[in-house]
Amino acid sequence: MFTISVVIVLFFLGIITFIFRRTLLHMLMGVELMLNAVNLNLIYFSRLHQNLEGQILSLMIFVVAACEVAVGIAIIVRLFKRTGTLGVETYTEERG
Amino acid sequence: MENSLILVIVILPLIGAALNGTVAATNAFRKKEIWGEKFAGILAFGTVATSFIISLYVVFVKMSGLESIACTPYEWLSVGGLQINLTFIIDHLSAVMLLTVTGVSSVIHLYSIGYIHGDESSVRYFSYLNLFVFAMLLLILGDSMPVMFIGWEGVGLCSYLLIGFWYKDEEKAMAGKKAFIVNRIGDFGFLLGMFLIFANVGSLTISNVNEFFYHHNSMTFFWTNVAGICLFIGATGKSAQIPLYVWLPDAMAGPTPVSALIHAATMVTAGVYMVARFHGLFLVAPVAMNVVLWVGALTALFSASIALVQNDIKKVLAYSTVSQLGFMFMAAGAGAFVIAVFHLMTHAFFKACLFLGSGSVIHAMGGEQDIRYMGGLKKYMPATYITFLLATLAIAGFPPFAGFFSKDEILWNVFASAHGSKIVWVIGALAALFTAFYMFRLVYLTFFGNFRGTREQEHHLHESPKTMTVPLMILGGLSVIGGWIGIPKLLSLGIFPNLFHDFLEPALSKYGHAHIGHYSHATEYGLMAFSVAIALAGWFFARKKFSDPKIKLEDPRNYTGFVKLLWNKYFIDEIYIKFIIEPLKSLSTNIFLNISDKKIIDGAANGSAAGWRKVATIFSYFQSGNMQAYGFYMVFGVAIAFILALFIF
Repeated sequence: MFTISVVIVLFFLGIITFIFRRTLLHMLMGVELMLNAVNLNLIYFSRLHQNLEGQILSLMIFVVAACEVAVGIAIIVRLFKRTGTLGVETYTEERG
Repeated sequence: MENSLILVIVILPLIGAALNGTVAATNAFRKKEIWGEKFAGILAFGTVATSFIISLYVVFVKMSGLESIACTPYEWLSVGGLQINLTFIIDHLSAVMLLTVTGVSSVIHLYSIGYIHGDESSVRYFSYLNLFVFAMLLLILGDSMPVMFIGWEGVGLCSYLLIGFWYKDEEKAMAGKKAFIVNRIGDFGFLLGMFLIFANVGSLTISNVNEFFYHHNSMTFFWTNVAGICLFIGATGKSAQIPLYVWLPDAMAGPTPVSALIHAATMVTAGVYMVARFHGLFLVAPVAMNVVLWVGALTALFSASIALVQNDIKKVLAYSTVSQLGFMFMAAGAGAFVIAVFHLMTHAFFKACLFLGSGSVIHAMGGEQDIRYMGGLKKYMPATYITFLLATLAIAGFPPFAGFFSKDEILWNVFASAHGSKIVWVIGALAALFTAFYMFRLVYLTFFGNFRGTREQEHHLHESPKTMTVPLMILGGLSVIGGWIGIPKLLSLGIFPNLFHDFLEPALSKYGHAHIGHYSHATEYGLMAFSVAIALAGWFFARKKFSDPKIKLEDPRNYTGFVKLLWNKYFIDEIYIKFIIEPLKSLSTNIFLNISDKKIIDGAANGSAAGWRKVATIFSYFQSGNMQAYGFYMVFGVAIAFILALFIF
């Protein structure tokens, strides 16, 4: 039960970070937090059910997350070089 | 497959068309030609001539003793009770057409080699010409109405392509367009007739249709006649009868061999062929028959009278063609389908000869078509002169030339048949008189007297090359002897059999025939003598008026009264433009374009677009461009989904 609580807290921290921090770098970190919460969840349930599938899946998620961070950071660096700021309010191109 | 030779006949011209067409298309993009006009001409001529030879073999060897032979290479469609096969059938009627078409086509392909020499797109020309032969063969040999219709449209397409062959000249392109559009009006009638027949007969195979009308016609008198008239409207379009004849004189804008092949010998006779094909239907539709008879007669007289005063050599021949087609319809309307087809065949010979002769003259004159500037060509181009004269004698109806037998029989049948009428006979006789007159006028003005053109033209005058004179001689010879296979019993006193009649009669009286009234032999001889007298009278008047070598021809602008009316072709084109085309155009722009199209259709489309844009502005409020808001929406949505999943479902 403790682990589940940790997972939930971690996940919501990630969400809150994503929604309320105003810089892109922090938002990316929030995403990472959520991903790790999910990983933790998978590992916990894998242990609970006494099989390895969850752990293997979480290993794959590590790989994907690493790629995603690499790409995300690269984009963020380029954006910073272009505009000189990482404030999320600068980037409003998706306005409908 | 049985009788696959029939397929070979049909497919050979298609192969020629495909090869030449591909080469013509690629030649246009390359500097180097794959093959030029010489090989293209030989290929085109070779395929059609081979078709002709195979046709001869099939008709005279394979078909001897049989009523018909058929070949089904492909089952086209089968929907519910409707089964349409791509079947080619050769019976005695289509055999006559097949031999006429492939024979005349071969000769004209040969002539074209000389005529089109030096034209930059001659390969394209030969590919169209071959395609035309293919479509015509589909029309003739198809045993069901849809297959016939494909051929029908195909020849219309090729006619359009060939009239506008020199498309850079806008007038010629317009003539092609006019021909196509007028033909479409006729085709619409044909389609309606086809639907009407299918709705009642349940089959589109021609023999079934005829069988139906002959044995157990369950259609009412009214609808039977409507079906007949609808088909005949199709025929008036393709065969240039009143009121749809206007395209044919303009069609002379095409190359002269095309005028000879398509607009004189073969395609324009398709309507006559179609009426003869459906004689089972027409014989039980007396009103439709009467329409055919009267339209034919009026067209014959009407266009012959226009031809009396025209000065363009090809225009005269064009109106003459319209008039002769009228004669064919007269025969068909009188129930004498055999004679209609007989005249179709003899007309193909002499009119093709006349057109090719005129082509030869125009060639020598360096493109000049006005007979006021010709004259005295006899001594420069003897082969053209003699063949032209033979064909003229044939069309004017001098015995023993081909036209005499067919035209005389037409007049006799119109006079004597139960479907005929004495008034129509008078009209026909008058048209025959006109025919003799305008043809001899043409001969006198073109070949006799002094040359009236420029010195330069006179210096340039020459006989055409062999490839052009040999076809002329073949067709000229056929204009003489072509009628001998159909000499009426009365005239040959039973010594020669009437081969043509014996060959065709069984096929065309299978579904009933028109009754010929009882008249004494003396009457028949008298009418025959009268026909000859008419031809002589026409020649006499023309000679009196036009044989003076130093003739001064009046300027058409000074014409007055009736001659002016004739010179302007009764103002029919102007009437059509004023009363049909202009109102249609103004209807299209004022109502269909400005109101219906711009206001209603565009209005509906633009209005709904604007409406949705309004609705969308409400939703676009949520799309603020703030990414974190989007994240929030997503979380919110997932939360709602969770709640629904957990507590409600």
